[in-house]
Amino acid sequence: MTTDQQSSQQASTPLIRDVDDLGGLLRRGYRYALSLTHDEASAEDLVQDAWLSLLKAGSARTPAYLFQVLRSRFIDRYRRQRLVVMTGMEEVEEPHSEQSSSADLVIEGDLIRRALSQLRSEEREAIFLSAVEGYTGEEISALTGRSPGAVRTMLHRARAKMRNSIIQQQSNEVTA
Amino acid sequence: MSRDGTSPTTLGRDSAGNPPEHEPGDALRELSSGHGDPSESTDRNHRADINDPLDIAVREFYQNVSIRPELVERLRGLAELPAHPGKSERVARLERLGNWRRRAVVAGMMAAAGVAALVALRLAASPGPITADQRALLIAEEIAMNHRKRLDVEFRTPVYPELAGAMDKLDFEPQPSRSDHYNLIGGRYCSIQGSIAAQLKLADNNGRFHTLYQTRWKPAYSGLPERRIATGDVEVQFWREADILFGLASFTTGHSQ
Repeated sequence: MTTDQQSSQQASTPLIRDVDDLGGLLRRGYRYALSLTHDEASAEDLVQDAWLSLLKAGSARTPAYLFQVLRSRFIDRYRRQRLVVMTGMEEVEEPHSEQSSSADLVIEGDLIRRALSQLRSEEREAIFLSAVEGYTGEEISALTGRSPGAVRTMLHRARAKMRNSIIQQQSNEVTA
Repeated sequence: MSRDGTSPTTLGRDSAGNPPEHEPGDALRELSSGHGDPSESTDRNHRADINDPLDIAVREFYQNVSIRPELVERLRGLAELPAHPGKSERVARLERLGNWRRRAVVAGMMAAAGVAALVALRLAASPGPITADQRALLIAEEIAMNHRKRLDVEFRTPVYPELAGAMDKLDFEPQPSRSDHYNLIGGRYCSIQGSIAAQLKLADNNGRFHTLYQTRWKPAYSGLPERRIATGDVEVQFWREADILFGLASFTTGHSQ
């Protein structure tokens, strides 16, 4: 493979990769859990829970099943604790304009963590699946049970929220 | 592990600097195909723009977080158990895992780890089913660990009937402690040995907080009532009233609310 080909391949798949062993699977599951909880300790608890469920059920030890179990355990746990407000995304209007560009956005420091914290768990999940796992809207739709339109809307809103949060933080830093 | 969101210069490479290899959305294709064949077609025309700075920053953020290696090892160890291990071994391994969380009170955790190790040794040494004494130790340890987490209440009220109305997922009504030295702060759901339970936060007249656990009585708890078990810096007192098991956890040292 030439250098150009290698560069091209890297540019086209800039996504996280862990080795295909249990450790890699658990690390990937942890990142997904973190996208749901946005709390490191809760994400580890969730991974433990999901891993035990997966082992007890004898399910395949694949990212697909692990993600599915993580999601199910997260909903069970936080719905029971009444901490998650699940809104009917079908009722949300589709944005009229195309997603605005992030091209001019300069993101550094801790801005991204704070921006992610502004999102609801389902928005953070959608952003994670899209940006990190490389899912299409249809694939996110299949995993989450939401319609493709609702997923597109959610992604649009989540990105807009993050951009606004980052711009606001940068503005505050300049003011300070 | 860096989580400070520093500039995304390592985009597309793992922590060792290796380029990424996995295909976008491969997890889902495994699920839908049942075989994990990444060659199955998906519509890639609707993927996010991989060069969008926002997505790059998100990837960078998640790339720089990782589960603790020691937890990975523990979970890997569970996966390596035989498919149908003996009941006592399986119970011991699963229950030892508990609801461990990082950054709990360090001294308390170390003490708990010591007790857990003793419990584990005793369980490992016993060839038969778990005994009432062993179960009592395990439950006391589980309660003590939850007590040390000092989790906030989900339902804040000093009135038991109000709490009972709020915690409607329980199959019993939370009850006051048999001692009247405690004031109710509120409660939250939890679990004991896999069964749903109420975790009530109480304060005594000296401002020290205690945690009262309540769960529906099961014959498996027969070794618990009227026992007082110390585990590390926490003492757990058990008793039974009607069909509810009570476990009151208190620090043996001077922790305030």
